[in-house]
Amino acid sequence: MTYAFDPELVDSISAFPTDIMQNYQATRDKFYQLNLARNQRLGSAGVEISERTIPGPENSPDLKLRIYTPEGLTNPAPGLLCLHGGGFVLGDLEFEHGSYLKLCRELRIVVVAVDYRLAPESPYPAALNDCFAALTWVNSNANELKIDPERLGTYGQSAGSCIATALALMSRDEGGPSIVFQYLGIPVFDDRMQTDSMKRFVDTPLWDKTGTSMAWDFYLGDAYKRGADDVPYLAAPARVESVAGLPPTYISTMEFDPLRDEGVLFALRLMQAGVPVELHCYPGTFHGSFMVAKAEISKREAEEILVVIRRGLHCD
Amino acid sequence: MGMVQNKTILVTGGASGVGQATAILLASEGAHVVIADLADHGGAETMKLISSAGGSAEAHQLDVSDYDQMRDLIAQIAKLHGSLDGAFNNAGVAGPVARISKLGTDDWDQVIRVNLTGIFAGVKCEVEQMLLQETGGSIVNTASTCGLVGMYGQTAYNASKHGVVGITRTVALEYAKKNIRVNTVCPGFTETPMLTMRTDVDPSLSDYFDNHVPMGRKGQASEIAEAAMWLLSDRSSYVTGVALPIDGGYTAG
Repeated sequence: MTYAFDPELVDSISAFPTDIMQNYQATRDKFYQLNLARNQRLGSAGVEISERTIPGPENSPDLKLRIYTPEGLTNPAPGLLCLHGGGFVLGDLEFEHGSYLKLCRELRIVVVAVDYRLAPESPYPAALNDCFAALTWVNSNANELKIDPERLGTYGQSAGSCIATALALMSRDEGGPSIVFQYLGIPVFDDRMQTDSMKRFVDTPLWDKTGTSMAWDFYLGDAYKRGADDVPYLAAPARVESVAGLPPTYISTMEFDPLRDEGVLFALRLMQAGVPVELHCYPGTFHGSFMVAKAEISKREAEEILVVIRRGLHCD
Repeated sequence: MGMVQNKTILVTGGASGVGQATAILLASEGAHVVIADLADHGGAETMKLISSAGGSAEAHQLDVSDYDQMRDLIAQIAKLHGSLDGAFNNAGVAGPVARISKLGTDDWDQVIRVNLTGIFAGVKCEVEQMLLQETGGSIVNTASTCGLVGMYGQTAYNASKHGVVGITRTVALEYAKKNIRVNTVCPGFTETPMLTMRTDVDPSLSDYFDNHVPMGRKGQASEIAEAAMWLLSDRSSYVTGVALPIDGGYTAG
């Protein structure tokens, strides 16, 4: 299918990897090496980076966090729990390190990145439980981390935003720390895969219908079958009966992303339930196209990320 | 007769700070100033300030680290005005404050590219043009006291500014008999956007600066402009290859 991509993105498409889920271990290794090299070039001016190992959920291994604190921070600042993307299967602490550095530096907030367990080795609910353990730990240790617990938000791209949404639902329904704002970038919400964009965008760059189905199969593991009636809403938030009471939310979607419609639909449900929500559909884009940093549309998105999080976390 | 009457002088980084103050001073002393800046508007505000005071100026957008852009601008000036009599290569960036273990290689590259390679490009293109002119010309580069001594958290900035001093001394020797003089001004702590960028983030820095300067205060952009103009003018005719600190005594002891 031909897509009306933004002209500034077109030339970069061939550089994007294909079939990232098909050989996920190789993809994991490749991404790790590339990101590590890039991260070393970035340095850490203005940010103190530390790593902590905290107790994992019950009967689960310990969990690693990477904490980014602005240099010279004296008064408690807003905090942002960051869950990387990667289709539940890929990604690690190096994956979005550059973004987290920037958020910490530009907004003067404390960023906490979670090294959650990946599928298929650890299917649902491992990642969710890891992230919930991280959320509770951050909330309990807010003082030490110099985080204002009233201004603790979450941030996720792609699969990370699925888990972030589930965290908010878990906090609402099972009792958990209050989340002041959630940034849900290019979210994955629905294992049923019945939206119009999901059916049509079978061959879009980086992420397509095949990638989505593999991600869900890996994430749900043996316990659940993709599309079946009993898939829990904490795995696939689109299935939740009511979105009322969720925190103020920002959702970004890309025009030629199979995930586009489920993001838009979830935003609409939030609006109808009276949850403050901002929705942006970026034209001419595809899943992950923000990695083409030099394109004007990507620059606009990068700027908007800062603006909406600054507002959502009530930064000084 | 103004100190730089009828001279055509290029000022890079002319949209703000030391560049803006120098452009305004030069214009008030009779020069036609070509203002260049990375900002989209290329220093249009500076141009307006000059025009409304009865002076003569034009503004261009310029990325000093782009050799081709620099070469094209110099050629354009020569074509329009017949000669380039002076150039104040002043555009620069501060980079992040970070000890070397925290400095990213990307940060290093960017500061060196703009502050050092940008000066190289400017001086090279200007000298090549001035060689075609019987009257030669005068080039002034903005280094810094950081081009003479070290400063915590500024590896890339200081390296670039030391490098500017190096370029200046060498090129001064190369063309001394060709009526082309090359000098640097080395501002100390000067009240410009580059400094307020630091003191806004850490207000205690402002007092630190004041307390470490023998004169007990920061410099004003206009005080740097005075020195730059003198070096650009014929009044400094026997001066070449110097690195002149304008720093309230900071590097004297």
